Amino acid sequence: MNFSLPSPPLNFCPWQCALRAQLNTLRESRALTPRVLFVRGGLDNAAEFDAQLIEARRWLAAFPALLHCILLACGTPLQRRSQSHVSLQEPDVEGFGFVSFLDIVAMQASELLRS
Amino acid sequence: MMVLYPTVAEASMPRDVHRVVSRPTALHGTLRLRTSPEIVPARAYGHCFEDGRFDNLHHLIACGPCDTVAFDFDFVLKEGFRSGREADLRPAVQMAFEYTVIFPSSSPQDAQGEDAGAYVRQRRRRVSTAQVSVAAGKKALLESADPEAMLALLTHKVVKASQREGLEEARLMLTDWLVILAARYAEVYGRGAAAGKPLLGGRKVDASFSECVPLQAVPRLVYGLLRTALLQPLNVHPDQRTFLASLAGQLAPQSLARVVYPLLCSWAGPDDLAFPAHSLSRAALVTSGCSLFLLDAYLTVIVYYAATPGTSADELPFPPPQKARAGAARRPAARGIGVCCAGSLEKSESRA
Repeated sequence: MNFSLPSPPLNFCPWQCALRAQLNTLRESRALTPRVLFVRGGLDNAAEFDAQLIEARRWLAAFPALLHCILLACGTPLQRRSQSHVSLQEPDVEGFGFVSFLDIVAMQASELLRS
Repeated sequence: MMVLYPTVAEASMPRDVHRVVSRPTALHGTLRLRTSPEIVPARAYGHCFEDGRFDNLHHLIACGPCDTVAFDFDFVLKEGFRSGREADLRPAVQMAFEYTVIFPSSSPQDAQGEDAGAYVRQRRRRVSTAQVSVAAGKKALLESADPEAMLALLTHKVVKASQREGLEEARLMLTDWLVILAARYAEVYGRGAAAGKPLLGGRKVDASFSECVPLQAVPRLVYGLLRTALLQPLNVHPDQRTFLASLAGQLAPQSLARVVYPLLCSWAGPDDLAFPAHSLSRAALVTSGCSLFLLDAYLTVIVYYAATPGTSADELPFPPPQKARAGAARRPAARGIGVCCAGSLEKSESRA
């Protein structure tokens, strides 16, 4: 069975290249055939690619003072567990970005060590 | 096996069905674990179910070479492993897996007689024994961790918790687990609340596990798991969550890590791999200095060509040449390729 990819309408990934070989290997090696998308930045809709960049900081991370206030208001997750309205006080991971997420974890770990 | 395609145009069902029926398959599997006396199997995860009559016996209806099951163990005694063990008395786990395979008959009698083309059913049993060392201390334990295996077990537990207690509780449990791990790490490596990286409000703990290489991937994997459809409470279709839960139940840890935290590598050119792994951020794209990227999210693979300031749009043909589309149309099981134009929200689907 021929597992080779269809020719994309783009010239940055020619037929005979290592990148194409890697793509074919990925498609052949998996139980479920992955979707293959070719995206040109600035020309194509890159929303699906951008959605995969999960470490990107979102709007809240741009305001450290606001972030700090919210973190103080949230408290540690161990404390939140005993409260009734958990869902309202959980930090929004998507809004924080990875760096801020690390800060939250570090701060809560410090609180845990002190308690 | 459960499969969910985003759209009918992007469904690769012919190829996937062909793979399922052509791969080696073990049917009516029974799996039994035996362990050293200090530990007992506690819970099983994956696409298997416990036997109602016999302990430590699990059934698998069908499985392939890529399917994975996981177990965790409990100590029999509160003290854990006894200290001062001899080297040949290391704790061991033995797995016996019995299954049925069906394959074409190769005997000359069948090939020439009436049974030509007949299939043979065979019952097989595989026994595998693994012996592991006991860590000398907490530091050795942390440094021998396998982040992908940890992620697989975490995912199994979190999915079970989300189905039993809800998404919010599952997210909290996962975050708590990472917080406790960071605190234990800080204790072991002497980076308690009094030392380490300065953070907000003067509090200090190194949550990036910078001194323990095996654990450095863990925060990203946990963060990625929180961001997957498995644990996102909003804007996720229930079918997508169910499909991911089913997929996570059978994937090997390496593949599951791709689902949770996709692998992004940069290419200096179509033949030159520049860097095998980047963090998933826009800043990593910019600092790499490359314009070609391959992002492997297991279910989706994206080749991204970043437009550099010197690149003219005229260098890339758009709309796609007709002959390229016609050439691809001759491939019976080819996937659809989405072609999108900047400034337009609509995505023109072409069955390539």
